[in-house]
Amino acid sequence: MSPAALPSLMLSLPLLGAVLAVLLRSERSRVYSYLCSAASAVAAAIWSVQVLLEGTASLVSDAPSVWGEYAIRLDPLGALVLLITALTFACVAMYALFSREGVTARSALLFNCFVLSILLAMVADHVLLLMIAWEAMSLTSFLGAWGAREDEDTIAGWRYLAITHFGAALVIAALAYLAVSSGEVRLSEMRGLSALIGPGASAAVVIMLFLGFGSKLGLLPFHIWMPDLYSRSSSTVTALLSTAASNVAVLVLVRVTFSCVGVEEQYALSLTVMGLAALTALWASWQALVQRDGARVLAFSSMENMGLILLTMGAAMLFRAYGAAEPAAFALMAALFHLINHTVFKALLLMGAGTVRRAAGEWDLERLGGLARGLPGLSAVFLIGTLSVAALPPFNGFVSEWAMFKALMHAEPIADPLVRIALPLAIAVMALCTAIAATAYLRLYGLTFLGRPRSAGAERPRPLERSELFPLLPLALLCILLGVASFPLLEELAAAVSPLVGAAGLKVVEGSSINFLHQGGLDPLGLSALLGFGMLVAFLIVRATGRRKVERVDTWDCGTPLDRRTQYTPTGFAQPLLRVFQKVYRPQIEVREEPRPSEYIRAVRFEQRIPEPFVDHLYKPLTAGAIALAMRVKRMQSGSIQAYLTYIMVTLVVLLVALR
Amino acid sequence: MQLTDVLIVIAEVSFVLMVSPLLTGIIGKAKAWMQCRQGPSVLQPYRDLWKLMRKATVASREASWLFFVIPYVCLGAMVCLAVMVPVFNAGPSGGVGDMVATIYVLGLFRFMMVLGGLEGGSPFGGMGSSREMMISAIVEPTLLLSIFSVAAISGTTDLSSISRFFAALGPKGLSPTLFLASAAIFISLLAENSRVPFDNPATHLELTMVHEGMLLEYSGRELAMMEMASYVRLTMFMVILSNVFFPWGIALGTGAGELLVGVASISLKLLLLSVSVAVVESVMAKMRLFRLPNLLTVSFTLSLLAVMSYYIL
Amino acid sequence: MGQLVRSFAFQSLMLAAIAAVLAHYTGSEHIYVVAGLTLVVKGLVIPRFLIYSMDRLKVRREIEPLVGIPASLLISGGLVIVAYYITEPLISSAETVTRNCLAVSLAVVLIGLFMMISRRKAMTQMVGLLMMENGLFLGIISTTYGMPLIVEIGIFFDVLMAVLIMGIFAYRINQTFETLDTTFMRRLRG
Repeated sequence: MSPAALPSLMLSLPLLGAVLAVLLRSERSRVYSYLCSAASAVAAAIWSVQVLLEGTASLVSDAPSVWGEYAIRLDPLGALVLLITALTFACVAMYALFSREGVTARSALLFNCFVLSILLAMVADHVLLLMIAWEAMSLTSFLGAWGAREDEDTIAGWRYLAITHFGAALVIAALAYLAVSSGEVRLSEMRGLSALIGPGASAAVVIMLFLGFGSKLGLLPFHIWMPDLYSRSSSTVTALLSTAASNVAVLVLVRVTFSCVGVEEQYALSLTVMGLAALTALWASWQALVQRDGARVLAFSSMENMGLILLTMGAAMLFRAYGAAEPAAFALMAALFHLINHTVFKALLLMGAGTVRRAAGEWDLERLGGLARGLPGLSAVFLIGTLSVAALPPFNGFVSEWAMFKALMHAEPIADPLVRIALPLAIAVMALCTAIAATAYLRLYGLTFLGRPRSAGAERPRPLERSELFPLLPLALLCILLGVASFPLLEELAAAVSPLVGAAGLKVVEGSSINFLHQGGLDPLGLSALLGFGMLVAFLIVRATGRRKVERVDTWDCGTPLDRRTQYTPTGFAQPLLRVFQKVYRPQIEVREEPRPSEYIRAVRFEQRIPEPFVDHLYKPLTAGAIALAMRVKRMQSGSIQAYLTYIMVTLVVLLVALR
Repeated sequence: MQLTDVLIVIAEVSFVLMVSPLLTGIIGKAKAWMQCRQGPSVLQPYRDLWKLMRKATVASREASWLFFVIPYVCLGAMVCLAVMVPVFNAGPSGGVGDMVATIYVLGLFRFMMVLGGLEGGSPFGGMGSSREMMISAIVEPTLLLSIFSVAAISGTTDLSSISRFFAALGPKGLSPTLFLASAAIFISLLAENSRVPFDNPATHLELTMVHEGMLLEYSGRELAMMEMASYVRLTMFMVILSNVFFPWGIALGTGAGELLVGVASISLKLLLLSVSVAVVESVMAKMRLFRLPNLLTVSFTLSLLAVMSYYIL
Repeated sequence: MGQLVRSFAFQSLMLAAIAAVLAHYTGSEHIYVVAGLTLVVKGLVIPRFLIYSMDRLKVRREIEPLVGIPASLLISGGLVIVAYYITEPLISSAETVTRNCLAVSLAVVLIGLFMMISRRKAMTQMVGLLMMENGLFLGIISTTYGMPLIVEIGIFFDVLMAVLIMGIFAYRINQTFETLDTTFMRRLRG
């Protein structure tokens, strides 16, 4: 088939789906529009495989354009990310179909538009095309998130829109500056622009891009929209937002930073990026621990993972700045592998959390519990997702975090001794983040699925139909597969990132082991086999003593009858760490004595609130200042016709004089 | 990998499995002697395990399917660890002996054990689980920084290669970095294995339990597996401490004489470490829970100083 | 507090050991005398005197410091990094002994100063001052390989007198103010 067939199919199918969603009346036929997105995802996946096998594909269109020719381009790096993203799209589309939330015209339309904009953003080569796709992405996700629940206030949506647009403004400015100063309008044609525009300007451009794309990724301090939006929108939207949108952001960021601009000699820039990313990851893991809504925990988890990815990317920039190409390539490969893995397990977790919310009718962790007995299949699949996100062997999160740690352990190429300390500090920060985040995920899983149910909804969850689990299974399988046997992917990834940092083909995989410059490697297949072997040995030892029967009794209670209220709550589980890091959280605690219910019993009310310092100290003053300024300007609009006509006349006269 | 390598690995795993309960018994006996009493026999843990294996399993009504899977995963992870870490022979590990991977396998064990504590819906399990996570959250950076300092000196993170590197250097390899990092790891050993001053392994009061609290609901075979896994974890920590930082005597080849020397040297080191743990446990009292972060920060600062001293000295 | 004095005695012991090793390395006799003096004066006499004063003053544990323990530890780690950064240009061209000791001595001085700032009891501040002196001593020994003996003896005598005088002062302060908490002693203005 012609080279243009697959990409055109990929981009036109969602369009068809959107049209179908609007035109067709019956609910059943909206299924077809979701099927269109799924089909487009399949087309995207096939195209990526084709590009991986045959090399970069580039298509230029003859459509009339203002500036240069519109073009789309898929190189091997983009193909790898697109492949995984497309598979996730297909699963999310299935999830949207099979979930028994009504498939409305609005949701189908927005889903297709969102898919289209993401696909376009990933393959866009023309700066204008990229910006249009990015805008479309923001708008469709905003509209999709808005009005998903009846009881919402729309502040979350507006915050999201405002912050994303601020970020988009930074990105547009940076890209426009690059386009104008280089005269090129296609991203693939811009190479090594730092020589052209000088180190100061390129540092500024890269920072603007980081902050701009970071607003979508949840970089500090642009993260405040994330938890509210995740808890208020439907899980379909959040699954796509967290995975696909982040993929686009990181992909474009990597391409522009390393390839278009270049980071030679940019030491301070790399350290700034690393510092900001480390703070983001730390803050996110601390906040994930104390949330009551599972979706909010996952929002902060996305923020933390993005922080770690950007930290490793900053380390790659640092290595590149010192001219060490191979460590830079390894670090970049580790970061992008983590991005791919994050797509898979985060989509799994978000869809799982949405399923729990629908089955139990509750979203508050304080009211869930004991769901593993009512929903065993979901609990098993969610466990796989939790183990992956907590980076435990043998799942995919472990392999990519191992690679990230390994990349940071290599401090020799850095000549400046003071800068060399940045790497062990980065390792310490990363270790602390992953440990606190693991506690947060443990809390999420353990208090949702284990123990006693804490409310009626959790006690009798609506049983799930088989079809509701179907979309989650491929993702769970991918988690295991990518954890155990990801070698071809890693080799392709290493080959794809090497040209970005000027390394000559990095050989990462030897046999079945991931090796880095003979400094110790990991054999994930061997490790997983060993784990399985260990379990088998355990099983055999135990079976050798014969079968025993299992007797079920009440939980041991030391004499006091236990009920749903005498078990650890989510607040209680996080309490020790909350106290250890009190200076970070600054919880506001209020203890009030309530009227006594009887002669012998006291009633006490305990309220703990964890403030949001960024909202209180950064955004509220900013918005208050902006509103004050707007009030002053408002005085110009006095309402009288004379004033407006005066403005027009003055402007006209000034312009005529100036353009004389 | 040749047949001899495979045989040696099997021998190492069997050695670890057989010796682990003995080490806990030795610690108990040494503590008893320091308290001027006879104490239980050093073979008591074996008898306890045997007794538990023959008992029926009594599970809570609130427990789910995960409750029965967890002991297998935990014990399996520890057996896997025994293969990964060189015990008396520093042979080629075939890519599974990475130090960072070791920390993560330990993390898997801990994650599963903490989940087990939340089954059953009792407050004691939740208490143990949340406290365990508090301690381990601060121990992780220490462990990884210590690994970093060792990897920086030896140029690799593969356990066998590190052992070989330090064994070849001999006593000349002793440096402040090594001492500081091993001190940090010794404190982490006490923390992760629930020893005084972090937790009292012999306590019967639920309010003071960290490790025992998570195992309250287990019984019979499952409890035997979890206890065995804990014994193996203690042994493996001690093996890592000996073979990474002070690996003199470890066998570098596969000759019978070398292997015997290797077995003798690791046995001696394990004995010394067990007695030191017993001494520390007898000399110190269990600290209040919220004073533990202070001690853990000391351990973190030691590992930070280990990294700094590598760069300074 | 006893723990604090014991740690200081241990530090002085290590200092004496370093001086002895240096004496062996350079072969000069009088550094052995210096090592012996350090051991006796700073390792035995001063700690005994401090414990004696504490018993007389009935000093208990250090009260809540101005900076918490984990934060103090992390700041001390940071001070070590700063000391390393400051001495780095000096170290790179020097001999082994100097290279090893100079950054450490500066770190000990800075940590002693930090201890004086962040702790409230007068006794602890005294120990902080003694720690600073230890650090300086280490720096001197490692760069000059021992000063003339008369200078060393003078320094020791000076330190001993300072400790005795501070001990007497602490007793008087305790008698007058009923406490050794220095945050209460801000009314001594000009």
